[in-house]
Amino acid sequence: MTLEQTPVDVTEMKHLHKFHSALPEHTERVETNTSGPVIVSDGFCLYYGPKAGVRDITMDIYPRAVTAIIGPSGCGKSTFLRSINRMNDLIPHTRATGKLAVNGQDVYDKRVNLVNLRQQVGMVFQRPNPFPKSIYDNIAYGPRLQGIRKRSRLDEIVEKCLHDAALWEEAKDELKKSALALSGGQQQRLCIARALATGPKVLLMDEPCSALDPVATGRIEELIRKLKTDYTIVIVTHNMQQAARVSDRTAFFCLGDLIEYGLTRDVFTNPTNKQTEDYITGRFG
Amino acid sequence: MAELQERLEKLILRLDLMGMRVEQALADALRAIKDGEVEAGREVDRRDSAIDREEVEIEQECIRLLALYQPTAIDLRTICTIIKVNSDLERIADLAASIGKRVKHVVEDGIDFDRYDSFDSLTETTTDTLGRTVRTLRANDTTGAQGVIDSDDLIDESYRRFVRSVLDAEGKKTGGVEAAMTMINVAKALERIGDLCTNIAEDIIFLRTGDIVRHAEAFENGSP
Repeated sequence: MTLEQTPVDVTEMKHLHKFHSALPEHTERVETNTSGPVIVSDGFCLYYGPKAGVRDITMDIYPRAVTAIIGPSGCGKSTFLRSINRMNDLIPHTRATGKLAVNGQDVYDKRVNLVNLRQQVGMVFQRPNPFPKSIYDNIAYGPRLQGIRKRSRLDEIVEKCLHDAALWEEAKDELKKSALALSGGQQQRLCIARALATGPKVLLMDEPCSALDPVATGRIEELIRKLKTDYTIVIVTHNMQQAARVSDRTAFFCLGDLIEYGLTRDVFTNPTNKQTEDYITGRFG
Repeated sequence: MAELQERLEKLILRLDLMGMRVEQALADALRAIKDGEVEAGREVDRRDSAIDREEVEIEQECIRLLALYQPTAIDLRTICTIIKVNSDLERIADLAASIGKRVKHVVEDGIDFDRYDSFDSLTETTTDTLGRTVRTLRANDTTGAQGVIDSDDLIDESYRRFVRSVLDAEGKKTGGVEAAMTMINVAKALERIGDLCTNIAEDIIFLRTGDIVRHAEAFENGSP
């Protein structure tokens, strides 16, 4: 049989080829951008009085990617996260040494304007903590503090942030409703929308799903995946599977030290450090 | 010890036991071939269904562990390795059973394997390789695994020599084709067992190191 005689419907093949080309190309969940890190930690230590919360942390955090920080309670993961936008300043007798820079600016430099820093580095907490105000006012709060007064501009920001936080469809007809009337999952997405309203480059998330049910957790995780195309996300989580699902890189902290930092796909299949392996497989921690 | 690790240890013991059963099945099948014991050959085939059941139960337990514990790192690699090795061991048992079933033809056709080149070396190397595979699996030993992989060339070489010898002797003989087919099928089963031992050895290396060593030639830098 010659090639011409092969009983293959060429039209069908072209159709299949077209269909195949239309499918999204499979990509590894690892960002491939070659731009430099957004957050650089170089020998960073943070002390609570004489006691070190984190010691000698050296790691680069890359843009448009999700970096998960995992580790047992008291390992310093939240301390490190909160150091990035200096939330630890609220705790008396804290002292930082080494370098921790966001977009090239040392965040512990005395000249740093904390309000500007926290506008650049937004934060979402463990429990949803909306202000006892309307949905609209929660989001408009930051921009108003930044001096934006024009109603049409505020409307625009509120709509965009609710869209970005995947809450617009549910909330668009109830913007005047109290934020406290939303479900836990909706409140957390509102808090994310509120964090986005000041136009941050970095989003810190401290166990953002620990108070949510699996469905609400799934929605937040989906949202994290969408947000990483525009933001640098650092998430602290106790949920190992969540770190594996949503992050590109994972850092394992233990007793204030950074034990291992690498691509999530490697850390969760073949960690280089025995302590990491013992922790993620539930042998200790 | 956490429940997952306890259940994994039990699974590893079950896999080890399965390896020993498979090793026994091959030894019995080859003994039946050599001694012309048709009933002993059939017995290997009958015992195969117990190995089949065990394979299914081990796989079901692996699926349960994946669903219930979402294992990671060494636990994940262990389960993936068990799933693959389990399937390869069951396949080896099938091949041993197929050798067992052919004893009848060997006796009916009056086949004497010793008249042909390299059959002894093929059976000995394959039996030895399977034995080392089972021990390597038990000890989780990458050096042993590499030894198993290296042995496959010896099995392939013995297989080629044996097939050539059979074809030279029987190819042109009237009525020789059926006997040749029986012999070549037995030899092919042994050669396939060598390949499956290689697969298992590669999986043991993956379990220990996380490195996928098979098909290295398909990747530009030598590994996936």
